[in-house]
Amino acid sequence: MTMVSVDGLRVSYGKRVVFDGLDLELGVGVHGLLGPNGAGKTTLMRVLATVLRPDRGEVRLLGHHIGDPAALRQARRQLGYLPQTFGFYPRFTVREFVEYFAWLKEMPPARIPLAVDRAIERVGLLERADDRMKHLSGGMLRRAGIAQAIVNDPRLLLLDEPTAGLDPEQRVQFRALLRELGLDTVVLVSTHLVEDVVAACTRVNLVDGGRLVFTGLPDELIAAGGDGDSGDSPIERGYTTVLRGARTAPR
Amino acid sequence: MTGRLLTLHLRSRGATMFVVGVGVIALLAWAAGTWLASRPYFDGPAARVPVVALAPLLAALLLGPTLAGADEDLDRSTPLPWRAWRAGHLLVAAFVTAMALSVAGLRAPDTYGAHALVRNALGCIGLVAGGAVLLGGRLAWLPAFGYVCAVYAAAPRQTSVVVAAWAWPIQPSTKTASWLTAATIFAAGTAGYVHGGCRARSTGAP
Amino acid sequence: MRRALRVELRRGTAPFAAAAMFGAGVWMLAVHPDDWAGRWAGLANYLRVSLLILCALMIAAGAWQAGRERRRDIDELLASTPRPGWQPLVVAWLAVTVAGVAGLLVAFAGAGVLIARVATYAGGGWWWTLAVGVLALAAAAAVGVLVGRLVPLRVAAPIAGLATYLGLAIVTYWDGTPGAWLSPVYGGWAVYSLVPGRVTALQAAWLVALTVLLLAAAARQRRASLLAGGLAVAVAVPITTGPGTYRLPADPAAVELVCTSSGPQVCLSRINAFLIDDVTAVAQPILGRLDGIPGAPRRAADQAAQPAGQSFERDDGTVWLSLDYQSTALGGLVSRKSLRADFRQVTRARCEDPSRSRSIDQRVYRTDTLATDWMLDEAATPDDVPLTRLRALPEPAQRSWFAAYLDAAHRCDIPALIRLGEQS
Repeated sequence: MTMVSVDGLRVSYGKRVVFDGLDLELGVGVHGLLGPNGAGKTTLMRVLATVLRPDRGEVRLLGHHIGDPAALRQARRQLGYLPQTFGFYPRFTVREFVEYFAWLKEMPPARIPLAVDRAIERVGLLERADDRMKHLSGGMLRRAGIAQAIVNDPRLLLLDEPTAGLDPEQRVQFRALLRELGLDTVVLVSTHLVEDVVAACTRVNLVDGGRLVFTGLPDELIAAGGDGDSGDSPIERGYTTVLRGARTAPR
Repeated sequence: MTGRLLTLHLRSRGATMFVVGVGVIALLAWAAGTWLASRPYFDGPAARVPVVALAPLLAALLLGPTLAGADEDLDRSTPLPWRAWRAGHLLVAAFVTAMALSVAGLRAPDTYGAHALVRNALGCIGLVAGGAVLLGGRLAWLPAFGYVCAVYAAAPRQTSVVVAAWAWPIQPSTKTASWLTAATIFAAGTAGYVHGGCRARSTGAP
Repeated sequence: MRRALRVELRRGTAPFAAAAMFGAGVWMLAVHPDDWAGRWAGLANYLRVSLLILCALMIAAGAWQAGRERRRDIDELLASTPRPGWQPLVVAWLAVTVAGVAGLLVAFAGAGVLIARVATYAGGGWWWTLAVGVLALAAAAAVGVLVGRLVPLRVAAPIAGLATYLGLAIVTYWDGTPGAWLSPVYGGWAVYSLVPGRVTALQAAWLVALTVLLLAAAARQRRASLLAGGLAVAVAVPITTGPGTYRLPADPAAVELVCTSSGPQVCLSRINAFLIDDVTAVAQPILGRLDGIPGAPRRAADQAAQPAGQSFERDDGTVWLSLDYQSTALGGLVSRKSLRADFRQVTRARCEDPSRSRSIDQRVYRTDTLATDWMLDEAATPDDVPLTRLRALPEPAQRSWFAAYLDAAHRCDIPALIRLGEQS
């Protein structure tokens, strides 16, 4: 079932057009968002996070039209978002930070304490929950950011490069969390690490030059690559092949 | 090459805004001073105490952000002779500020005019430089702001040497003790800043 | 809301604001205790005078708090949350306001304890003065929030504070115009003067409307800001067209006289009555010396209770004592010397010359000093020959000399005054 649909999306920063006529549909599951630098991954994330108003096009999140203020608020209540550059309040403890965002996401006050503990536990920060944010390492901050994103049990979760700064062990744990979340949530994960996609994603979307150049199962992306293509793993080979194909094909 | 480096340094520290800001402050100080001095119910040029206390403070506050680079750690990892650069930066800024402000008080310069403006510019810049060393560039304004506001609010009625020393921002420029304190603060602030530079960026403030 | 407020109170700018306001409050109280000591109305008035500095601090705190989202690069994340933007803004403002006001009130409560020990008058609606002061601090924090939202500079906080300070100072310089009532800062008038209740009520309404306007503007709530702006203008009009800040009436209950029951009469207004023992100790011996001398005052009274418009020197047998800045923090007399100096009005030769064209003989001044020294029973230095000679006369002769002096002084009979100075 389609939970997120984007139709004829056009986004530009001044004169620079990032997307023109992008269509995208996402259902429940973990979706990887791949693409080279500057392809528009973060822009797409920001549009879906309702932070960036598109110039044109229709965006429906969880059945809500985001053009309508009341529906937008409804959609935001069920949204979790971790931006690429993630700011935080250094004097807050992890618990206070997540609690604060639970409040911002208009959770019922009675549910907040439990939900906060659960979110912190799911990212494995429970023993640091009462430490100030300024005392956390980069990877821990990232996990605190993920905890903030999942505290309201969102039905649409947008994670922009969530694995940057995580050590290998944490990444393994994080992928497990992603798979668990993907059972009943639309999760869109933007990343440069294609192994994450193979390990955790049910579907892959590849954007390049403002277009969606591939959408399908990870296996289909792997199958696209041949032995002669550049890349160290099957999915890297598939990735470069699809990109090259998209760039040579006429627009 | 040094010329190019100098331009880049000034741009990276937002020198343009500082210079424009000091110009605006000098202009406002001149206008406010003239207005106050011409009020019939005040005592002529001596009514310019608020200008003399606050204009140098404002200018010094603007200097605060220019004392630190965007990433102090990154700056320090470079081989540039930073002490010389910092000394030059601060001294030139102090000179520019003092000159610009003194122009605003040329009429009757010795009764709360140019002399006192220069003294207060030195003292406030010293406080801001010291603040930058202790608290970092983002909070460098705090000690100067707090101190001058406190002195100004206190407006002590006594005229002893001790008062002249601690309440230097609001003393007439004929009090030697006020000059000594302001000069000491400036020397200490400059020495601290040249030696240690801004406290490296910490995430301690809210 | 409570949860978010609690977090902001603990982790936002609030604790710093509380500490800064407490420190500023203690400092302000410590530098001029004579402005407030012993008098509740004085304390409330002094809070309003101190607002000049305190508002600047609150604005700096508000701007620092409101600039945090941008400083910490978190606006994007906030933009994706459903809670309407004005709510976190109001929480942040409320946290700074509550903490700042609490810090200040702790400092002033300390002064309140000192006052409660001695105060002899608790009326005069001083708590309304205080309450409007608190509203002013809330409005100042709102100014800061707006500035912090609009100006992406770190130095915005102190500069906004200083700018407000200057603005408020200019308004107090324009003392007298009704527009000065729009500023919450009082011009430091006498503690027993009564600000009309109408003005206080209008000021409160004005500050509340202003606060709402500023917060609504910061949260980009156009309708609310238009509404609050309209209300603010509607309140400002009667304030600016009403009477100015000149010639405030005295609070009749505050200046009601409280008098000693034994000895020469010393009367203080009720608000200063806590000083009566100290004042009596200074004034009664002097009045005792003057007792029965023709033309000499028979009693000393608080200048606060002097009927409006009456000149200082009217001969009604009363010496008027100025007690406005005569209380130490603990409720004692600041300066016996300046209180004694108030008695000089008894001996002053009434030779004031409005055109100041006529110069008065120096010998007149010497006689004046001699009479004053005699009255105040000053110790004579060995080389003060006239005073020693006067004291050597028999008591009745001294008294008649003084009576003759008073008579000559009141008539400004210069030859007589010169003769009296040489004759002693």
